[in-house]
Amino acid sequence: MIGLISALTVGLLLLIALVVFALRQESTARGIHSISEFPGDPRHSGEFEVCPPELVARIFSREDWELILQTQSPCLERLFLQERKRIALLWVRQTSRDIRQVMRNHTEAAKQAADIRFRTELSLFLMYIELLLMCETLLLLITTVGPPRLERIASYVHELSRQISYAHEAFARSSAGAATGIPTSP
Amino acid sequence: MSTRNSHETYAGFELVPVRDVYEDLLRRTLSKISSDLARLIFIASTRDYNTGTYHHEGLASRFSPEKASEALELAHTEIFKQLAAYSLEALVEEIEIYACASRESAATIVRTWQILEPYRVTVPLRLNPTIVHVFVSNIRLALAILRHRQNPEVVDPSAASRLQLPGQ
Repeated sequence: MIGLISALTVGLLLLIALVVFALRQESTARGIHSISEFPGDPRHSGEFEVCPPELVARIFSREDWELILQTQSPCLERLFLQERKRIALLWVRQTSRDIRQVMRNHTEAAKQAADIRFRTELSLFLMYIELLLMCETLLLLITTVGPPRLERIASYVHELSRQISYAHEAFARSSAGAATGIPTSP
Repeated sequence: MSTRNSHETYAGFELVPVRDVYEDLLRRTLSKISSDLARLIFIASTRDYNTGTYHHEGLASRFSPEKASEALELAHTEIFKQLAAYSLEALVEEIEIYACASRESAATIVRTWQILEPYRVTVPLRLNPTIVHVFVSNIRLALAILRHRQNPEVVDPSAASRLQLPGQ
């Protein structure tokens, strides 16, 4: 009897995990679809450009929200929150997707690297896990609390993603330098 | 020492860095335009919609058509990014300055922009899509704020932006 309950529990958990995974895939696909609305789609140009920090601050800006509140127009308030939520969700999904790509590239580079520093790799991996968790948390908070209250957490996520990108770039540079025998600048 | 002498030439044009051409564009042309939004609209208007390349007679004759196009593209991207990061209040002011300079009534411009969304043609070809979305969304919000300020009685100041044109 206990075995049956355990098996059912495991099965149920697996089912929930599958549903969550399917929903995540669907929402990611929706995010990609909405991105391709504009010509600046990097998938066409083959380039990726990091969002500047001032733009991230703008998406989650409290200053803009206060301006809207001064108008005392419920319609404007609704429009503002709707627009900013949409953009904030887009930014978080893009950041999460970009950083997954960076880590995939890093894994490939690490496989071919001659000397791997275990502690550096571990700290990079932990930062990556932290960033993914922060992105998931931010997605939840954007839909529940709204972007104007999340400026600090968003800038933290942005900083974390920049650190991971820089760490990977530094690693790739030093690996390339070691392979060619050319010393790389610090 | 003159920088002019330090540059090589190719096909009659000096081989100067794009940054120098960009600085020339800023100094001679863009500095004479009253606002960043007007500068953006001007630069976007120099782009060929079929090829995505930019044309500017004066700049092309001083440097080369290729360098002129690259400098215009650089200026376009820079100014677009700046405007995307503007606060809503600053963006509202930009639209007001633009409306004043155009000699059309601000109310007409706001209504027309809400329906036609002409600012979408100012989007650079190669840019992070999030920046583009922020810009378009902020212009939409700034127009709604302006509409509300012009006529606080309007129940939904963003209503015109949801009108569907034939063929949309």
